[in-house]
Order: sequence, then C-alpha cells, then structure tokens
Amino acid sequence: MTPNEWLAIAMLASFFGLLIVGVPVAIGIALAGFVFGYIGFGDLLFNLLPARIYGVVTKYEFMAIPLFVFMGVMLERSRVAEQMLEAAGLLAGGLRGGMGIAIVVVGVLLGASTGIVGATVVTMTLLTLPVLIRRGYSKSIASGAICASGTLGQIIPPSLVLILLADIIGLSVGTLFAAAMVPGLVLAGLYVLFIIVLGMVRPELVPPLPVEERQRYSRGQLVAKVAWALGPPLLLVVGVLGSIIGGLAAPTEAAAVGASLSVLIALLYGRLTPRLVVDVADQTVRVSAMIFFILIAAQVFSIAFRGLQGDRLVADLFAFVPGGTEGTVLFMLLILFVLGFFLEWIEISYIALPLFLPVLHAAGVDMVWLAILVALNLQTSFLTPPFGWALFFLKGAAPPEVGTAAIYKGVLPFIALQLAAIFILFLYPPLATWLPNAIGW
Amino acid sequence: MLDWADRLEGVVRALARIATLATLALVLLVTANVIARYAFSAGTVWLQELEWHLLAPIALFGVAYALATGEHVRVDMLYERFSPRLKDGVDLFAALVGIVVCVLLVKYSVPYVLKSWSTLEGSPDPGGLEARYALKALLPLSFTVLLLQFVAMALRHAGRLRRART
Repeated sequence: MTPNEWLAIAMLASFFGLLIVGVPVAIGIALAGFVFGYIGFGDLLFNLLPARIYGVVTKYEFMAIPLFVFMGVMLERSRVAEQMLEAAGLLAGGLRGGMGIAIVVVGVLLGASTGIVGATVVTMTLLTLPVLIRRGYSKSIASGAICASGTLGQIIPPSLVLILLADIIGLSVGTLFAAAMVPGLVLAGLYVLFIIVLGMVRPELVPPLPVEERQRYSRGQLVAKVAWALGPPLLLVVGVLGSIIGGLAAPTEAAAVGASLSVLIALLYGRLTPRLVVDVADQTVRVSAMIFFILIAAQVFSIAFRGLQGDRLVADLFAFVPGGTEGTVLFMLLILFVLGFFLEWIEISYIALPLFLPVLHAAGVDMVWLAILVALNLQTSFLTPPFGWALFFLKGAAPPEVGTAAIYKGVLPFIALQLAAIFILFLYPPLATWLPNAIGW
Repeated sequence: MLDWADRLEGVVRALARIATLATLALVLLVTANVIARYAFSAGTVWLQELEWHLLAPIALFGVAYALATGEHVRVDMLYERFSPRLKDGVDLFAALVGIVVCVLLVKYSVPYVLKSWSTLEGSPDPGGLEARYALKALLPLSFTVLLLQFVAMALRHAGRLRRART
C-alpha cells in the first residue's frame, strides 16, 4: 500500500474517533479531511472547495430540503400531523404497534414524494417522534421506525437515488422505477411484519391506544374524525406523490407545492397565524442549515478521500476477491456498505460504483438487478451507526431527551431487515426484473 | 467584551432574518413558477434562476444562527455522560477547530470570488440573472460570520473552564 492509502485509512479512523467523543459531525468531518489532505497532497486539490460548496448551496435538487422541511414543520406546528397520526392510531384500533405501522405507511408516502433522506427523516421526526413518545412508545423503536421508514424513499420510486443510478449504469429511469417497486414494497412489508411481531412479543414497547380513548367515539364519530384528520393531509401527500409519479412535476416543484398546500391546510383547520408562519420559517432555516453545514463540510472530506486515492484502495481490493461473479457482487455490496458509513450516496454512486461496473458488466451480471441491489445497499448505509446520515438527521430534529444510544439501538433491527431484503433479492432476482419485463420497459 | 458579543449576535440574527425571508420567498416563488408553467405555459429564465439564488442564503446564513441557538448534530453516546468540564473541553476544541476550518474556507473562497468578480460573471444563459459574483461572495461572507460565531463560542467555553478551575 502507498503512504497515501494509509493516510486515507487513518483519515477514516480519526473521523470515527472525533465523532465518538462528541465533536459535532460537520466539524469532525472537515477536520479529518483538512489534516490528512494537507499531509497527503498539500493544498492543491482544496482549491476545488469553493466551486463544490457553491454547487451544494445552489443545487436545484437540494432546494427540496428546505421546502420539505417547511412542509413538515408547518404540518407539525399546526398540529395537523398529530391529528393525522392519532387518527391513524385510532384506525389501527387495539392493534399493538398500530401507530408504528401507521408511521411506516406514512413514511412510504412521504418518502416516495421526496426521495431525499435528509428532508424525509427530518420531516418524519418532527411529525411523529414527539407524538409516539407521548403515547408511551419506546424511544428506540420509535426512532428506528422513523429512520427506516424515512429512508424508504430511497428505494420506493420516484427517488433521486434511482434517477442517478439509471444515469450511471446506463439504464432508463422508467426501468429502474419499475424494478424498485416490488423490492421496496417487500421491504416496507418486512418493517410492518416486524412491528406486528414486536407487538405480540414485547407489547410494552409499542402500546396500543388506551381502550377508553377508543371507546370515547361512536363508529360514526370515529369515521368523521378520521376523515377530517386524514383527508386533507392525505390529499396533500397523494397530490405531491401523484404529480411526481405522473411526471407532472420534479421533486423540488412538488415540494414547493406541498409547502404551499401545508399553509392552506393550516388555514383550513383555523390555525394559521402570521406568528406561526414566521416560526415555521425560522425553524426551517435552522434545521436546513445544519443539513447544509454537514453537506458543505463533507466536501472537504470527499476531496481529501479522493486526493489520497482512497478510491484506488477500493479497486486494489478487488483483485483478491474469491467466489467468481457472485463473490464479486457480494464483495461490491460489502464495500459500498462500508463506504456508506463515510461518503454521501452521490459520491458512492459517482466515484465508487463506476470502478466496479466494468468488471461486473464483463461478467454478464444483470444490470437492473444489480442497480436495485445497489439502491437497497445505499439505503441501508443511511441507517448504519455510527455514521448513518438518517441518524444524524433524526438526532438533529428529535427532542433532546432522545439520546444517540437509544437511536442506535432502535435502528439495529431495521438494519437486519434491510440485510434480509438484500439477501432475498440476491437469491431471487425476478423480484426486481419481473415488473419491468412485464410492463415492457 | 459584552458589547462585541451583542453586536455579533445582532449580525447573526439579521442574517437569519434574511434566510427566513428567503425561505418564505422560495416557497412562494417555486409554487408560482410551477403554476405559471403548467397552467399558463409561461416562465422566465431569471425567475427560474432566482429559485436557487434563494437557496444559497438559506443554506449559508442559517448555519451561524443554528449554532448560536444550539442546533448541533453530534454523536452524544459518550458526550452525554461526560462531566460538565469535559463537555466544555470538547466544545472548546470543536469551536477552535471550527475557527481554523472557517479561516481555511474563507482563504479558499476569496480567490474564487475575485476571479468571478474580475470577469463580472453573470448567468451563462440569455435572460438569466446578472452579478453571479455577488452570489458567490456569500461564501466568504457567511464563513466569516460563522468564524466569529465560533470565536464567541470558544470564548464562552474557555471562560467556563477557567471559572471552574478557580
């Protein structure tokens, strides 16, 4: 190994160390990047920094972050989300874990409409975590369910991940959207199944609504309450989702329309005040800015990682892989999984993935199947402690009493479910390839 | 000393106000552009460009404000069990590193802005917004304010550490 490759490894290790002792993520990632970058190659490559930072803060796709945060905060502050979740909880009735299942469903809908992990997880956290905790849910399970449901948007179309993967691998976006549909729903199904089983085995972690609360309403009242609470927000989600799937609007545009509609919904429920609008915008700025600060600082790190030929380190490893084609695919998934701890999915997709593609293409691997495996893998890497971005985003938006340890613990079962889904797809490629073939993409 | 800190806080809050207004404007603008395009097939290049021009102040001006109001994203598995002194130590270290990082970011972004300024860079598209150098100038400007915010935080934590010792 070259000295620079050792530096790349040391850089990863020191970032890990800084994070563990509680240095804020953005500062730790910038520090590790600058220090090891300077040791390895001086300041030559860092001249690229301003252009990349400028790229981050003016990126069209990233406009969806403040817009969806605004929508989420508005729905939360006007207590629409609370109403919505309680109604969903009432619907799920005495079912243990009913609220958790409602979260997964809401997560599928919300995630599907954004495709951006930061915005989705933050929105979900603001919308649901305080409610779940007040309902007596375990903080861990609630956090895990939210993180996992929030990242579903990465695999359930339409998603930015799939759009970029299509571009990188050279497939049509429509093919990948169709291919991801079934595996995405299988995954969501696994989540729901897990919560149901958990409700049977450890009911105290996912309590049902108290009986007296459910009996307060007659059937007719219940229907009216549910319709009043769920109707408008559901229309919002369906509208946002529908306009993207129907090809009417880009995610950013749909996000803006969603944000505007959330204001109208607050008005409809009679909760809109000028004060509320200002407060919502203020919180939107704080939450979005922290996400951008991390994205900006991550530029330092990714420049250093590439400058130190961390990517070549990856390619060199490939020469030693046993097990033929399957071994190579598994190894690539493992590498992407590990890289997912440190790099943004965009960088993994554009830097690491192209390194592997020629080898796999030559080996005759089905690229559609591979793309969905990669997408599932990238989605998992958002959840893996200690560096999963979804966890940081949840932490940033969660009430202070929710500690990191609780979040890590809660997300573990969902990571296991992710790996199960990857494994299932690995064994049964038709899960991904059947639908695109059937509808003739 | 207090005077200085107050003034800094004023600047940070003023920038945050701009970011807040930009957020509201972004929601309205993108919505309006969508409606204009789908309902009336109308739209102008500069209104489209204005969208992401609004994103930059939200992303950049908000950071110092978020730090000032205590929005840290960190792994607090160990941190939450640290003694108050050790917490102040970690925070002091983080603030000092933040200062250095901001100095570097300013150092790299100033030539970048000057280059854009020297060619009076505007939009490459006809009908686009002029003065792109002004937008790029937000980088060093906001990193300077962030730098000052980190200085204020470093002083606060250092002060607490010193008081704890005596």
